[in-house]
Amino acid sequence: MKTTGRWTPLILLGAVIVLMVLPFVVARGGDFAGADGKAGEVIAKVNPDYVPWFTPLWEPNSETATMIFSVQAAIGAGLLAFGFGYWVGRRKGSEQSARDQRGTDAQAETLLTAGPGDS
Amino acid sequence: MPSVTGSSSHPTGMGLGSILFGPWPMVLVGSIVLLFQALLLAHGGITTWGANCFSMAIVGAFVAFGVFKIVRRLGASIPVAGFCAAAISDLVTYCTTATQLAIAYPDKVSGFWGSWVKFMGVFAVTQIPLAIAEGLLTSLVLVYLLKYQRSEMGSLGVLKTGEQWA
Repeated sequence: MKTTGRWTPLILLGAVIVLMVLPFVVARGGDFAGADGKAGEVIAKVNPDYVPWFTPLWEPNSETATMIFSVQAAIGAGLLAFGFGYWVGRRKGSEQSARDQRGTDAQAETLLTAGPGDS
Repeated sequence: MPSVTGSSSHPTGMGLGSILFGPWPMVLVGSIVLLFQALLLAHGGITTWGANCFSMAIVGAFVAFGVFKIVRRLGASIPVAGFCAAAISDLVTYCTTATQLAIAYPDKVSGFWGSWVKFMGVFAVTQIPLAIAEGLLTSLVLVYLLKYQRSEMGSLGVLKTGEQWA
């Protein structure tokens, strides 16, 4: 069973992009705030008497928070890209050197079979 | 990541990690990630750290690992099993969160279940497309790992010696 053709990665990536863009079409005008914040609103609805009893020791403002989240994602993506780039290069390199090696072997064989005695 | 409900949520990454390293290391890794996010981003929170560790690092890791094993045994390829593991683990994590919140904040009239439906409406629905996206990305990473890192996948025990993955 051959499951991963040439186009598989592109199809997978395309599907992810569609899933990320679709919300902006379906839920046009939504604020796209975090679902955890939405849960906070639900808490306020089911239990109006609830008062949070603890505040974060340090809280970045929302723009800084967005920035830190982006940095987090960027570091992750960077590491992933570096890793795969390195591995792809390493495999190409080892294939190349295997080819070179075969070339050298073939040459050596020719030299051996066509030894000085034949000429 | 934005979702069709007009709000946003996150992938968890527990699926890929559990497939590669097993569930136990991911319990620790996930807990550390949640601690960092609570302290540096005021996201998640210290008082709820335990609850978040349970839903993401413990439930998420073991569900991913279990689903991967089961789907593999049913004869699916590694990328397909990876998709199922990551997507289901991501979704179950958020269902667990909804359940935890419903236990903590039962509706005064309709009780636990009334509250549960509301929290599920917030988390589970938002999470469905994101769970699918996480599954697809996990699958993609696995395809590349199997292509370029065969020997490492072997030493991690994901791929048995001589086993075909596709």
